[in-house]
Amino acid sequence: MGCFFLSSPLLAKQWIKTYALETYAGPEIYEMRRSKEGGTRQSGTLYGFRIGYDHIHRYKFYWGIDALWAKGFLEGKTEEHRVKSLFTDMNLEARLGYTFQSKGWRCASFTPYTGGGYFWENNDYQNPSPLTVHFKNRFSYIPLGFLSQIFIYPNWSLGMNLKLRYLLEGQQHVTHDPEHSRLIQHYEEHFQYRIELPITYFFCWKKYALALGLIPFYEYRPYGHRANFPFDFLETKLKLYGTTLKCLYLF
Amino acid sequence: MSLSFLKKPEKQIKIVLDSFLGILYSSRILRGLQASKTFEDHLGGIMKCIQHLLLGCLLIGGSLPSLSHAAPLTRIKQESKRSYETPVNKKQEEDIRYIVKTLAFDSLLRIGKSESSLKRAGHRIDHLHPFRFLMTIFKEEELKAGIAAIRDRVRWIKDNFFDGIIRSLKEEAERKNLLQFTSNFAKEVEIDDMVIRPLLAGGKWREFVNTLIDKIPRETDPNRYNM
Repeated sequence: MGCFFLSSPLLAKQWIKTYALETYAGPEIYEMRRSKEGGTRQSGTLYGFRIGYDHIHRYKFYWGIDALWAKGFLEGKTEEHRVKSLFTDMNLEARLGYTFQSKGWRCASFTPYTGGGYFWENNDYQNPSPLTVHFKNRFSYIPLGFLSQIFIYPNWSLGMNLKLRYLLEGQQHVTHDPEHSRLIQHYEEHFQYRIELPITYFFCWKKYALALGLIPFYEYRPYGHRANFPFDFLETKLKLYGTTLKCLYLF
Repeated sequence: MSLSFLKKPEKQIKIVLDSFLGILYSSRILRGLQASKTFEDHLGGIMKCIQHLLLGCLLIGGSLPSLSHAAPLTRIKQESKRSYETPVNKKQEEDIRYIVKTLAFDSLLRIGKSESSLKRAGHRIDHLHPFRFLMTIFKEEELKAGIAAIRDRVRWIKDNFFDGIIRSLKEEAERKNLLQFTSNFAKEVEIDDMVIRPLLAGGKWREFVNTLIDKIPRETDPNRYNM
């Protein structure tokens, strides 16, 4: 097949005919801003890794899996104290959808999908925080979204991906409280969303078809206030700004 | 005290109307009429509408067969007076605890799944005096948090739970079977009689329940994890 996507639009059409599977991996770096109803503000950078596999082909069913792991320190303050925590994000998601793709006009594609996913969010407080408790937030969700792509040049594509997460069941486990044993807090499950704007460059190396993608994104995760026993869950909002660098192998 | 929303078909219609109003609300957001709100608030509003629609569909989908039997399922007004003198027994206490904890802390899907058992529990405590029902809740810390949690939940849970309480308060007030017990009730739940009496006398039922939630103190500081 050779380096068919180097210069001509015709070769880009060839690309959509030839490859249906792609596997990707790469680092993900993002700034997280966490705010809590009581006035606590924290921020910090998380460094992680994303890996996944997509079966995406013109007018065919789409399916994919995706995993993320990221970790970093958040620092900030409550109304009275300085706080520091080690934050870990872990996510596993499976998607199923259908791809609509134009053969001619810049090979534009649109893939709506849904699926299932699970999220692990750990926020482990450390000194000098007033309480060195660990919050372990867990929730399952249904993703609803779409992937889209358009070739601006035969080997360059732009896209926009949008994903909503409909939370099915979420709860936060609180551990390491010196005065209380492990307890569970419930919160109001709100929609979360993530917007990505991928820019991808396709090339070939030896006999392999590869691509490099730079994916800036914004993500918003709100968890609503809920009275709990013995302690309430206070409304918490996470705002994430970051980017993923994806290395794709097409086959 | 029955869970009227699980019985009344008009409640299902209300959910559809709520969803419709949600769409109107979202279109208002899109027109930018609430310019002071942040982008997240706007999007949050739209998300809420989608959530209302999904939940509405889920609830209606699950309850459609009931609509054809609307008459027998529609709640009949409690025939006899509810007696304040009759204390809540262990079994009824368990039912109240089950209803409050389920509606307060379970996920929406789990609540949907528990529909029939909630209905049965609601039916079993329907004859309790509303003050006895509220007393059971406000004398137990976990249930105090529970009723506050229900107030924060989505509309179709909170409105219908509180509608049940308000209806029985109204019924007993009409039978002159409420105000004379106010002092004793206030003493039991540790609230100032003078704070709640005017609300009851004025028929401000919703404000009365909200006052109980806001004014009756919780034993522990609920904001311990404010970080």
